[in-house]
Amino acid sequence: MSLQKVLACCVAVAVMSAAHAEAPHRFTDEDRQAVEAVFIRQAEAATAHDIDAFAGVLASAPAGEPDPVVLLARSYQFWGKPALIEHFKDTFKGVWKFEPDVANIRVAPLSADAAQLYAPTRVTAGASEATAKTASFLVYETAVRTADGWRIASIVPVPAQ
Amino acid sequence: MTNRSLPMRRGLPVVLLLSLLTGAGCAQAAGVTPADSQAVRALFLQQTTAETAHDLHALSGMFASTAPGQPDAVSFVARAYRFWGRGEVLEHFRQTFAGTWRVEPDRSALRIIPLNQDTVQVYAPTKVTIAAPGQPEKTATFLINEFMIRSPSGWKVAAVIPVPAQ
Repeated sequence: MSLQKVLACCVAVAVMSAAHAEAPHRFTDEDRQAVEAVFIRQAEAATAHDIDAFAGVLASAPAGEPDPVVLLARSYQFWGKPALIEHFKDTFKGVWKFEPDVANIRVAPLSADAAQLYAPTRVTAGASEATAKTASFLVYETAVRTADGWRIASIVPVPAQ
Repeated sequence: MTNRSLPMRRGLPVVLLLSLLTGAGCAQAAGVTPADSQAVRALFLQQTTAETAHDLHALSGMFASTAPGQPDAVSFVARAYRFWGRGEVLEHFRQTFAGTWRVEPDRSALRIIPLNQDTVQVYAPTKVTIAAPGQPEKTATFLINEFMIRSPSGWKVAAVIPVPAQ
């Protein structure tokens, strides 16, 4: 590698570094759309009982960092992504439909790299179609910006009744 | 080994060193430290104390403020009502403080979950005693979820999400 090539590499690295330094530290309309989109993917995966797709929308903590994924409901609390996935593997054996009122979704930033999402949502759950019941929840979630895009961290369903 | 590869091997450490130096700039700053967790816990307890004391001024200082033109991060989503923005939330507390309002978190069950380096979730089963002015009190337990954000003036409360425990 000639000196010129080494210098060219250095310039390229420096340019990439500058781009990183300007990595998004503002929450944009594009972020808002991305957060809503990942929530819609979560809802579709849940209703389709697609556990892999469902796992894919949840944040994965880098090694050595705390797991931000929680589901804190009236009936149960799950701490960490593995516990939540296990819960939904069981849940998906029965009836589970998660139907947000898309027209009333609200997304707002908490910080540059974390967002809050609110969606009135109908949840139908039960061991069988015959016994399944539908209830309305005011679903509050948070999403975090990751290297792979926005991912869901907290799920807090507030019973509407 | 060819004559071309020797200069290349000399150049590689330079590129590697530069990558490491610039990569350090890309790396995230330190995450949520034990000191942050203590500050968040203290903020939550100060908040509940201020609420029970009906100290709106103190409470106001604990909620996040947004620079003009920036989106307001403060929200309050409950079964009975939803408030969006710092102004609405503080007005709600101003009205609530006209009656009975006591908040007693179970400190031993309080949990802090970092979402990222600047955002933390707090979970605390909490007894809330409430009544409109002149009306009999009712106490109920809520699974309180709050979201705190790091600001230039320390950690601040952004979102309050109480889930009724019954």
